[in-house]
Amino acid sequence: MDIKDMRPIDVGEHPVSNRAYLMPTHSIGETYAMVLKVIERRDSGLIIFGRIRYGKSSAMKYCRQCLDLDFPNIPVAIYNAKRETTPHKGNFYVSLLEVVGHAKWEDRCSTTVKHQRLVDFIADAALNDPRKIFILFIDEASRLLPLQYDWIKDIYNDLMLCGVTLLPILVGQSQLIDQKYAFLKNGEEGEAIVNRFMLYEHQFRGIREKEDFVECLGYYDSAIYPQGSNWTYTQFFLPEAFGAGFRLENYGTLLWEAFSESYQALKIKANMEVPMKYFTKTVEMLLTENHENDSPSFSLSRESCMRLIQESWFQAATINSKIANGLR
Amino acid sequence: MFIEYSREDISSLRLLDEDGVFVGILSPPHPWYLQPHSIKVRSELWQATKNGQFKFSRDEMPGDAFRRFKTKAGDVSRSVATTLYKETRQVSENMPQIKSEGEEAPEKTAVDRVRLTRVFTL
Repeated sequence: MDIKDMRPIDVGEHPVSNRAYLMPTHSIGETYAMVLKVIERRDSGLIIFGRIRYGKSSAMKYCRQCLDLDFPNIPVAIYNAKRETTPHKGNFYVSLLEVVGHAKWEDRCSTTVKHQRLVDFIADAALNDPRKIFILFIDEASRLLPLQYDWIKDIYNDLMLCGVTLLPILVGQSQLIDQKYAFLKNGEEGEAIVNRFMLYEHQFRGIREKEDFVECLGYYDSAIYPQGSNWTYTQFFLPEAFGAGFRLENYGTLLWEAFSESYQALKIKANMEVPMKYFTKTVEMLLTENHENDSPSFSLSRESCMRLIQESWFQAATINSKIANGLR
Repeated sequence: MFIEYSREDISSLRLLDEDGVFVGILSPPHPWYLQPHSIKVRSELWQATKNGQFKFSRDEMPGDAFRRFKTKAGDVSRSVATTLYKETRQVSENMPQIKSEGEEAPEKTAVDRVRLTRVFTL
């Protein structure tokens, strides 16, 4: 039987085809180290900020997966902040009740009851672990308004009375930092928000080093799917090439140089950072669009790498960054 | 509406209503909001940028830009050094910034990364 016919699932069901996988990078490693530090010290006030498409949201999900393994009893929730022109306390609490997993989040009841439910639920969940903490990642946190920070502060303060620490971790773009300084200029009220929620700044980066880049490629050669099988991601799409020794990691230098060449063509003096979005898209296209070309002699050329990078829209997105952020 | 600002720091402006009640903060675009700076720093850099004599580097703070602009000719005269000291409290890049009592740098984090190797499938 042809090895391609032996794939345990259809190509379309694979996580690479569906972009349903999370891959570690050096920057995620740094971010997770910060999260561990926050847990160890019970310090609320971590901000994780970075440019769009760098993979902040995936990093947050990756951290949650790690926390589930390393601290199975610490509750972790992810709240995706919405842009609201006229925030409503009741609706805000409903959204929070939903993300923390309260069974009656949709119940019609007064704001006071919603507030109390939220405090009770978070306190109960946090008491499962001796550290008595609840981690709340807030994605797109720059959309939060001062009023909403005040509402979170109310919950934070009530939880403190129960001996529970709420650890909100704000994730967003650099506007979050602007917001922090704008709050500070707003007097004591702003200072109270900053000192609780915006104390430490951690910058999330793209792939800056070749070593990181090559390591990430190596994960495609070693990650297994479906679990329990021996099919690595690369092998699944290119079984014959893989059998003949093809490994993405071995093309690390070629692909890195192709990214560098594409970047240099834009005449930006700042060092290159490859946003995770365009790195994964390039590899995903490489695998999913070549599975029919699989053969023992399959290999990559400089031209094919350049074409893939171009079609991942890396250059187009970098030009947009250049315009929007004044990259030189 | 009224706008309130300090000549020593125009990295933001305070907006007040007709009764003098605080309404909000107005922030200038990147990179001006990044660091407190005087109206003199802003005007000189703005003029030089407009005339094509100066360009900001990536992530450059107004203070650093002003120092680079003022020292690009090479020798730093006493008057230029005094201006730099007054406006940025630092004459050269190598000289540590002089801080007033009670003034602290914003918290920046630096940690050793955790070595992660696991790929999660969702």
